[in-house]
Amino acid sequence: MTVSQTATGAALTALEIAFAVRAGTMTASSVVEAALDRIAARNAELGAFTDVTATRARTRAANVDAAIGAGADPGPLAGVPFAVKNLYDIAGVVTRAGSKINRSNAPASVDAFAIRRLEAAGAILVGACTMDEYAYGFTGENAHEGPSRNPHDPARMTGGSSGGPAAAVAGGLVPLSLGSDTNGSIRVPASLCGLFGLKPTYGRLSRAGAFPFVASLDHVGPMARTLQDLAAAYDAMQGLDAADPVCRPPAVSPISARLSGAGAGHDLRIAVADDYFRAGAMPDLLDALDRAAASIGVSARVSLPEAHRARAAAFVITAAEGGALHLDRLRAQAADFDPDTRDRLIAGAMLPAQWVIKAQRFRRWFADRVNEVFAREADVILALATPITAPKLGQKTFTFDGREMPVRPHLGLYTQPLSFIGLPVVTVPLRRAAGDLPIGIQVIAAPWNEAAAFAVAQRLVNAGAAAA
Amino acid sequence: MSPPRDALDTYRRAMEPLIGVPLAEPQASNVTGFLEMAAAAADLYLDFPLDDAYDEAAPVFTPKPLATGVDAP
Repeated sequence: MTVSQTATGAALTALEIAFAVRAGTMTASSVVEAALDRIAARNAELGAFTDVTATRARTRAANVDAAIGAGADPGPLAGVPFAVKNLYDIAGVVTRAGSKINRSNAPASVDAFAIRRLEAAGAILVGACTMDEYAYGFTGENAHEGPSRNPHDPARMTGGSSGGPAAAVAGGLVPLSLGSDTNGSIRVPASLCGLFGLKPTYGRLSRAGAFPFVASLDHVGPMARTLQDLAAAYDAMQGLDAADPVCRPPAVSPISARLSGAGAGHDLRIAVADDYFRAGAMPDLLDALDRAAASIGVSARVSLPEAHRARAAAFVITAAEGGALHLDRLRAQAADFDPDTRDRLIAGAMLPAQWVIKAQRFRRWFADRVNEVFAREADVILALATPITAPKLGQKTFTFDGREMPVRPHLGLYTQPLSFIGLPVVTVPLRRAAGDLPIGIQVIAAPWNEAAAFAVAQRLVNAGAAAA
Repeated sequence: MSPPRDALDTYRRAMEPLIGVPLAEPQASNVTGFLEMAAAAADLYLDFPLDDAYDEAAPVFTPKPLATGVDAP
């Protein structure tokens, strides 16, 4: 089943919906009812949603319709249904964060900042989605709620940890969703499910109201089926927020209007990441990356020095901060964790301080060296998002170069060194033949230069190399 | 060179009461296994030469302004 053949009719893009609702040719209420119908029809198959906020969505849709009837501006995302990973606070809903333990928490009292921003732009929240427990995973499999399933082949992984939000968009249930990305948790599922995804610069978008995992690495961002939808969501989500102490963007930087120019991104130096970012990938995926690069005239290569050490340092920081965050729960409710998550967190809580401090110091060194690469060699760098296509659900290993490799960590091979230093990355789905599994590439820019990443992503779309 | 497994087993046993999480087999071995993975990762950067300028642990901590709410300056 393709996205355009969902159970209740065509799945419009977010901007198509907003245009129709704003023009009065479609009501927000009818859009929301269609989305709720699609969720009811396909959620059992995809495992995307854990909570459906139907009453809230219908109320908000009625409000949007009333605003339009009164001649008010309903916002640029008027009537657009969206979903969030279930680590985002939703007023009146328990924030599960993929866990069994959090289910006994009180419901959230206010919405997360990102939800408030999207709804201020007229979008309508329809529910919360599945994820890896406490965001500690790349597969989308969850011991408590079952896996999210890849709409392109429900026997395969969505990737994670934002697996449910990816399934919801790739399956055409909603045109837009929000995930979070600590080591690759937006980019991996976007790649395996064939979506556009944005991991912004660290500190660009407020994480307030999103259940944390690793505070010094956590990002939030959107996923969508078109680049224009992704940009519209990003534009709506921007803004200073004192509730997130690392949210310090230099300025609000709207992207949408800049994407329409045919010349966007043609003045940028673009290169393909070499060495570390080509080792460990299936050859056909590297061929696809190189064809996409060639489609926009790119053949230059750059190397990001010591990327393997960067990934290792990110791994240690993740384990240590995650273990520290959950230590009280590990003491009191160890039996209620997924055993694999639990034991990794316990090990993380035991790590020597020196390992973590040196990792943070190396982080600064690596960030400085990569910034030098941006200054000297390229404004934008292309790399695969994942080294393999979507594995089968439950698959633990795959064969590469005659060796058995573990699936779970390998999925984050190319994403982890980049979030480590907070670079903005747009994940772009490569055009593929019918029946092929999706694969995404990372369009990577210097800190705070999301505009450059979007511009090159638009060039890939214009060249026919990218499509969800 | 990362520490051998028996050293990590000893370290894990010493840490259990310190963090307040007592472990029994087979979970204890599983935790040691993850310590091995972390030790192998740390081994990749612990001896990497950095001068004293690279002493920054940020962005772990950023002072929080008094103003609260959306779009506070």
